[in-house]
Amino acid sequence: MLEELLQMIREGGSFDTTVLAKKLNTTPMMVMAMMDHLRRNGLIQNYDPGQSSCEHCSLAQMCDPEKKQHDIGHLWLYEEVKK
Amino acid sequence: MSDCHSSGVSEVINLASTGETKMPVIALAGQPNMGKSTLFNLLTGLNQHVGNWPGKTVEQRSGNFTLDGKTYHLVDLPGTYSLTANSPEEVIAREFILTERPDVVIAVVSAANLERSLYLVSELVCLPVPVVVALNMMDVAQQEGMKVDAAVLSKELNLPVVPITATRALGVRDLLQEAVDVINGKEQTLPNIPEIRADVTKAIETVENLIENYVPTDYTPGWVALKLLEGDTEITKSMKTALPEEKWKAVNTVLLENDDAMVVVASGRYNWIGNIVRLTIERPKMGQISVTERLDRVATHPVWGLFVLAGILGLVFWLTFTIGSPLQSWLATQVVGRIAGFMRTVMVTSPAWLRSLVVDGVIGGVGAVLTFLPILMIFFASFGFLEDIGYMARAAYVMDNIMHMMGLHGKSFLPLFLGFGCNVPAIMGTRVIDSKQARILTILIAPLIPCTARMAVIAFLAPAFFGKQAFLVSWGLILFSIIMLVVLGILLNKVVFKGERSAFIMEMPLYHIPNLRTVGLLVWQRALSFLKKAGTTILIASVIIWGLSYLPAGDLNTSYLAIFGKWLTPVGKLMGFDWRLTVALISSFPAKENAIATLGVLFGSSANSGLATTLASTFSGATAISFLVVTMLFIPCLATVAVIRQETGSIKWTAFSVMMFLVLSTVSGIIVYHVALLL
Repeated sequence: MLEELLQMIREGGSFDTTVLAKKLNTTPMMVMAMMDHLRRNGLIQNYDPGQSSCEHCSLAQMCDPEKKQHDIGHLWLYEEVKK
Repeated sequence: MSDCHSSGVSEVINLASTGETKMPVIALAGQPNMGKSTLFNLLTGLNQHVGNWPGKTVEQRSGNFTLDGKTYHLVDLPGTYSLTANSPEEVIAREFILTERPDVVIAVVSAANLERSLYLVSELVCLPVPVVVALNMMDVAQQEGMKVDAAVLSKELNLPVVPITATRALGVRDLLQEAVDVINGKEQTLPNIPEIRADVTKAIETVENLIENYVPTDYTPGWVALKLLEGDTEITKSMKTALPEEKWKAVNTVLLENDDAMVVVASGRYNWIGNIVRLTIERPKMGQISVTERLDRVATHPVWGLFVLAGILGLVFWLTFTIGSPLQSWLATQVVGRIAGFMRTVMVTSPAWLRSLVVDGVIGGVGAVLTFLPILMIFFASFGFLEDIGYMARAAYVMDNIMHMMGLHGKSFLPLFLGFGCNVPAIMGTRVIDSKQARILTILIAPLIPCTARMAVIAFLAPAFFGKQAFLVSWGLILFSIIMLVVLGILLNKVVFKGERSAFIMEMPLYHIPNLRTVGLLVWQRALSFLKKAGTTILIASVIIWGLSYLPAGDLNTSYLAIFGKWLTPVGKLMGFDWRLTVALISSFPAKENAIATLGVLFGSSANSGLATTLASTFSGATAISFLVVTMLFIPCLATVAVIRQETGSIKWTAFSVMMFLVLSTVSGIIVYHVALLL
């Protein structure tokens, strides 16, 4: 199942965990667990758009980054590694 | 298909009786946040020892407990996701199990998240120790409407499984009894184990044969071979030292031929977990999930999703203009206009410059900006509502989807998502891009995302110029800005990223009924922040603009600002601007809202009917649309430029960015103005 997931991600694009779960005939929780596994093994990155990029910004209050991060849930990034 | 510990099963059974002559040792293993520590504290109470694992800074906790008159030693292993050497905790946990050989390992898993927590079990069943599963958090699973069948789980794992709720000490006695039965040999464990793809299984066997005489005594060759293929750094290092050179070369060849083994092995484990979970858990279809699924069929559809997004943006502008514009107009004429008139009367004996400063500078500038507070509040409330119901994540997803379809690099998603709030975090968000060249180019296009301040200026000016068509114009302007972003992004993808593939995977939040208090608080915070800005930055800018428009002789047409503006008139004229619009545009550089303040100062004194009405009667439609387009594409605000300088670390690139937007906006303004004249 992890192989199929990685294959889909490697084709590139944007994915929703619920849609991926349906394609793999599993639960979104399983997809989340596998995404976390891929992240721990350095195959994808976890993206945290929250505090780090906004901490020096005087407009952060207007932008409300904490809420934005909460609203978007988890976000992962896959990049093709050139050999 | 072979198993992951071909010789492990018999060892497990034999080990069951080793605890008779000394205090039996029970190890608690589990992933972080599975309730392992709660169970440990419950069993040992004050009878526990806390220190560090030898040579490590990882906390070691152990203690004793008594059951039916017999004392047992309990070791709380560090929380680990797997038994591969990704972290010191994982090395400690597996070294303890392999070298100390506890009499039984209690694997603590969460009934509410079996998908994640069974991964460690899939590795534990490959080790030569008996395992008992503590199915914790049964209460949480129940609250979430899940039915977790412990008997089915036990049958599928072929291991003792005991449902518990550690926080309420439920089922703990049964768990301990099961562990003791295993220790005493009353119950034997012969777990089902994950299957691994045939070619990798064969590779494991090959490596196993090559290393079998060189494996440390506590380890089994099958497990070491598996870990080598999984790319475990500790085991690789140790075996490279232990094996003769020619043997290592042979092993390394197999490893290189199977460089995808790490994923294949993990995939086998997840298939195993998936099958178990499917049989063990019953999830009732919850209403909220069904609603989310049904709505997302349209909202996140690659085509329909875009129509939904465009429709929602149009609706937001329509609402803003339908409710906000009359309020803005009323504030301009009935509040700001009256206050200006009142102050003019009160200060009739004051020096002319002071009267002009207060009436034209402060009231004209700050007052004009403050009148569009109702527009902004409706705008903030609409977006706050969309954020709170969970739509904004879908909007970002749909945008990334279409951008990917058009060949744009997926990484552009991040600045896009952050940039709708403000371009500053958008540019900082490009830190995720490793390639310096790619990062600089992404920074260059990020300001094309229409930020809140820019949209607010459009929200103010569009109804002034275009009345009932304002929402269509605003909608078109946002679309135009995004098209420019996509076009430049495609160029970026072709030239810099050269078609390199990337992907974003998002966990969409469930749709939910908005919390009016949350939305209200959001609007309040943003409105307050805007008012603070009006009282500081915009006030200072208004006073400066007023000073430049008053000095040296108190006449606007001969002022320093007019001289400067008229000097730029040849360029401004190409876009249909007079010197006042040119100056207003330039003043938007420190903060976008300054454009309104400047217009307020320059037109304020004659604007008894309100700034919007004055602007509409002064300028043609062609000039108006040209001004709006140029405003959308003009040099980003000072804060954004400062961040571009900080993030690129280069004055050259910062200057290039400023020049690029100056040229882009001017050229677009000239084209739009002349096309509009023809219509």
